[in-house]
Amino acid sequence: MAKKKPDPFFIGWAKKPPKSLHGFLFFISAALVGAAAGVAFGIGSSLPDPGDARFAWGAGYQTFTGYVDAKPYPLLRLPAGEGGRSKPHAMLISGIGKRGMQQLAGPLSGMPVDAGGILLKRGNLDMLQVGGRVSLRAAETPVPNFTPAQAEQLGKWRLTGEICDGKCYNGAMRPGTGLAHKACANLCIIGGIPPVFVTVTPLLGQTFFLLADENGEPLSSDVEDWVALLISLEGEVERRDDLMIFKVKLDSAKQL
Amino acid sequence: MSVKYVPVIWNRTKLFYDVIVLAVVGAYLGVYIYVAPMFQTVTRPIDWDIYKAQAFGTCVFYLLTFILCIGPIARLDKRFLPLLYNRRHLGVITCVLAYFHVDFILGWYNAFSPINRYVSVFVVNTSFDRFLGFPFEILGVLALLILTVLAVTSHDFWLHFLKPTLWKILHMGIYLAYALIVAHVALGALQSAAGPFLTGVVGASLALVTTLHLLAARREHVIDTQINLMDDTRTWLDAGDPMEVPDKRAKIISLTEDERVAIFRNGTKLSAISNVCAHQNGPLGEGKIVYGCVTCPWHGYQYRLEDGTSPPPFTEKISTYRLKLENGRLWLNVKALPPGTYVEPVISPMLAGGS
Amino acid sequence: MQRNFRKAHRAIWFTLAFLTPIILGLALMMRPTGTHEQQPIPLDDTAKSVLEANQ
Repeated sequence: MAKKKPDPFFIGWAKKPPKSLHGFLFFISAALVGAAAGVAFGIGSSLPDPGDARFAWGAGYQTFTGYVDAKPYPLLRLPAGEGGRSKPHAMLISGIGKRGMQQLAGPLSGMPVDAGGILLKRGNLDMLQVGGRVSLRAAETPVPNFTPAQAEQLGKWRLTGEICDGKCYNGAMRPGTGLAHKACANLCIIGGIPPVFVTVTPLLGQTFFLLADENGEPLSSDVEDWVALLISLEGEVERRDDLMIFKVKLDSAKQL
Repeated sequence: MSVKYVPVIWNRTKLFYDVIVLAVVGAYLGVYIYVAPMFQTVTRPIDWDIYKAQAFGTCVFYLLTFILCIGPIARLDKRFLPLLYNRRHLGVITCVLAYFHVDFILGWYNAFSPINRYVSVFVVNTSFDRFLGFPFEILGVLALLILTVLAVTSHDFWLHFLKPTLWKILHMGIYLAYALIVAHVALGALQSAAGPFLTGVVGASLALVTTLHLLAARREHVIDTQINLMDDTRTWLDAGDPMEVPDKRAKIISLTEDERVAIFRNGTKLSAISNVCAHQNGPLGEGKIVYGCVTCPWHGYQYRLEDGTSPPPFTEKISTYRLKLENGRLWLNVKALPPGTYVEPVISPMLAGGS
Repeated sequence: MQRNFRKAHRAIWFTLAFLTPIILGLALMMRPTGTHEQQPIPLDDTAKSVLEANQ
């Protein structure tokens, strides 16, 4: 039989692996390093776009004067002209980190306020992360001749989309949506950040809806079970200035 | 084969092995973190912490897939055996990288909240009754727990303390960890944060690992189901023509109700010993006679052929078996002798021709 | 013992080799693909009139 045929046998504690294996081992090592680089490049370069959401640090500390609505979740009602917009604007607000503004906004609800902080922006959407020198306080000089308009009722709808937390979606995190982000979104909602519904197709040009329960109150903690899934929801839609509010029965939620 | 325990025994092979592993990890993380972003089509980059978490997480998956391929591929092609030699270091490195992944995630998605970040992993999503939406983080935690236990018990101290069989059973936990990680990825990253490439890689990795293991399992099954003729006393088994045993190598015989036996040939001498290495139950019959001793293909443990005992100062012992030669055929006594029993090798003049 | 170990090893592998791809396959199949009902659907008269006024 084959006494002369090479019969390489690797022994770990030997000084060197058998000569006939050198080429093979070198090839395997190179292939592994190459494959690692290739896979890393493939995955890293093909990640989906997390969108144009961001903290507008460049704009610096911003102050706004308007009214505050505490329900369903704290939001500012700003007159036309404020923040460079030609029409009145309803803007969500949050505290720093995963904290809502209920404590400060509650006692001031319906009153003129000054609010200061850093803006989060996603396209036309924005949110104010309230903090710093001004924070949220009764207005020192209220805007004259301005009271927020009544909400406009747009009827009952069934909409399809995903529940997110308003802050991460607006720019606090990229990506700020999807199941991988669900724990973060739930932490935000638990902390008082408004839950929002982002629809797959727009209603009257809007895909961004602030969520509330049927009575316009904050949602119960049951909402956490539905966050980050593609679902359909039914409820009344109302519009405050340019902000859509979707007053839903969570019982109507269906996973798609 | 240490007679006393030191934290890690280093040799040239292990150093080389670790250098290559670090090169693989370095190439992966370096390209992912610093090169790939230049080629992304994103409006704004993914958050730095999340991006690094993805880099480490996918690297862990890549390494784990590789680790799980080593066993079966070394069975199917012996040239891959050097990859198996220091696999434990690879496992420990993988476990460390997994902790980085967790740290980046907890420091971002689970941070900035009044709820403690470690507590939040367990309490913030309780949709245990859902498939999509299941708290996939828990699956990752379980896998990490397994990886940690395996990394901690990877040292030879634990191997001797638990005995090889129990240790191997414990370390089969890596399969469960891999399944958990696949589910963790499938219900997490693949649902939203992944591009098509990642989805393809995960699918291909799982297919590769599964196929290699099924192929290796079929091979083992064939060996286990081989039928050998017994004599009338049912103590001697026909082990075939001695010419079938290659010089310095072995022929593996599967005993019906018991273990596998390796019949080794050293020149004209034939000896039968247990196929199971005392260190990690490696397949001695796939080893070779080096410096007059049978050498295990996994970690190079050595045994003398005639008494199944490691040369001093080592003390490992394995069972030996009696052989006899009758009418040009080799017969194996199926009763294992106590480990370390001396058996005179059978000499077959037929083998003298150097065949 | 060795034989049982190998058997257990194979049994574990056969189980996981079937279970894991099934989980992965299911998870990928259930991913929202965009083929689901997507248009906003009006559910009362107010909503219908809003829809008509905006068409």
